[in-house]
Amino acid sequence: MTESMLESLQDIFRFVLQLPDETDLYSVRQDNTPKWDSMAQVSLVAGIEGEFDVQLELAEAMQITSFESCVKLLEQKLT
Amino acid sequence: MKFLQAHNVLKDFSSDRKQRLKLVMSGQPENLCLFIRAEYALRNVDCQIETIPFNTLHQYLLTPQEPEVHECFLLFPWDFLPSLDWRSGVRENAVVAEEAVQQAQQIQSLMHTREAQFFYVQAPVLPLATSTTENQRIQQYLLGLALQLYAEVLPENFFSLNTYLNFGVPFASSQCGEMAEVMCRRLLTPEPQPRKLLITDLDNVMWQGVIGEDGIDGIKDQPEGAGYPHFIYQSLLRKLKNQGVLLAAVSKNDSDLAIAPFKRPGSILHEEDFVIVLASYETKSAQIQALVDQLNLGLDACVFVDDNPVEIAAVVQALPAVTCVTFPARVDELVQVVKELEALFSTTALTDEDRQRTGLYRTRLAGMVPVASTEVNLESFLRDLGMVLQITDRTLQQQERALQLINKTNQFNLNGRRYTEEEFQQVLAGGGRLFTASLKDKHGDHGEIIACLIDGDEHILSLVMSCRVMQRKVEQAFLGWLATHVLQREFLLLHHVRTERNTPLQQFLTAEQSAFADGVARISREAFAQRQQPLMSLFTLVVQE
Repeated sequence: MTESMLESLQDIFRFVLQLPDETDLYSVRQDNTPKWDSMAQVSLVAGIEGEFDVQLELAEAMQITSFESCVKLLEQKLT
Repeated sequence: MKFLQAHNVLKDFSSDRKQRLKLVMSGQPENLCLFIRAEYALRNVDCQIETIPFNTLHQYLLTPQEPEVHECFLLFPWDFLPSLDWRSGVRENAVVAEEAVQQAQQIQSLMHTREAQFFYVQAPVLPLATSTTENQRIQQYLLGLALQLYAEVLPENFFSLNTYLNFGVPFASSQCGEMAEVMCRRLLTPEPQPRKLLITDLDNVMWQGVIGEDGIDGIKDQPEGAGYPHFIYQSLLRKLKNQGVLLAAVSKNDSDLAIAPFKRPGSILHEEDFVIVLASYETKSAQIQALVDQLNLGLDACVFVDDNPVEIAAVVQALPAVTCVTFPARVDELVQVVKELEALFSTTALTDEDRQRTGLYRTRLAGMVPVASTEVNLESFLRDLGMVLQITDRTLQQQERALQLINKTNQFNLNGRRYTEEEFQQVLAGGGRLFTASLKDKHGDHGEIIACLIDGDEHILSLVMSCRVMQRKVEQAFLGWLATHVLQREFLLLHHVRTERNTPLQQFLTAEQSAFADGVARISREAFAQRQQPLMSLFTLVVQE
């Protein structure tokens, strides 16, 4: 994943989960982020699909439980 | 627009222009809301969107509409017919189409009561009936119901089964931006007002042929052969007139000629179907402006139809608010023109007053005469045409087209005299000369459009010009060149006879200060040549000896 794609992904997480700019995104997980509910999950998936022109199947969408897992998933999808 | 772009548009955006929008749909709308808000923000409107809970559209239809909230329905086929919904799976037993139709109608009638804007995604659906044909019929029927709501129809690829099954979001994430853009364009654009007045050219539009040249028996507007497209056009105009559209004709013609075809017993349109038939040799833009003033209409209420791209371009330049439609040269293109005209005059309500409108306006226009074209400046338009005038000395060769022009032209014809080949050659053998001119411009090649026969004493025996190129000052440039480079006498001597049809030629001679005596119009050659000098710059002149 390129640097600019990583930045875009960070922006999607910050926008959807309403995280402050200084948040260390690699520490962000579904179980430690109160705003990460089922609707936020839908918004994250839509943001990722729309921004990177990929389509995530349900099983893939459910793998996104942290920023780090999302990076890994996208790296797999985009290679 | 993409996801992050939409977020960035909304970041720090604020506006005093606020609008409450209720987005009503059975699926999850959240991400679409983001894009809609961003599209509104791009138009400096702060849109506050409210939505309804998932899968509660039918319940919502039973609640009264809130005042001052703009309702926008985003519908899918299963909103009319729930058993088509992918999330429900395929029904165990087939449904009879009539039952399905009835159910869909009931739901649609609830939607019909709302003051709202509707969008309909033509998504694929599950099979309900036993045959493919029946299933297609159901889909078409639902589309019809949506159109009855004046819904804008969105394409099938806006639907995503994946996101619908997994998250209840029935549209593809990648399409959200485009979908929001289409919706906002409709939501924020006022409904176009239907046009009120259709102004049509006559020759080669209302009929095939030129009435001034081909005569009433030579034009074609019957449902056969070359007349077919014109028959269809006339029948469309008759329908429009019956739904309250005012019809007017503007034609470069003699008045009696222009009206004559509408007096034939078999004609689809009759003179009284028009508020007026304006026949003159003045510019059409000047006629249209005067007509619109008399009718007290705005120029934006007018549609002008002509087959000649030059006439269309002149009206576009002089009256940009008028909608111009080119009558097609190719029959297949008529389909699009009929569609376009139908849409421009589309109306939903028809009153008795609409049907009687033509009669009322005819009274208002009684006695209106064509105006002079001084109101519209033609020069910049003509300059923009990039006209190339090629003058050719045909004294010794290729005279067929010149003789043909002389023998068939009626309107811009010096005297109406026809020549046999023998007579023609006699003039040339006696020291006479023959010149022709052809014209090209940015719209195309008009071919050889002027012929001029001069005898050995420099008397102009014949001067004709095709009516296709009137109003372009071609005749002046051509004669100006002759007066400067060919003719030597103190006066131009033109053998003139007034005919029933040569009004344009008579106007030309009068404008050029001709003195008439013994069948000859005399014009001071030097003064004439000087007068034409400024307009020579409108042309690129090419002379072929």
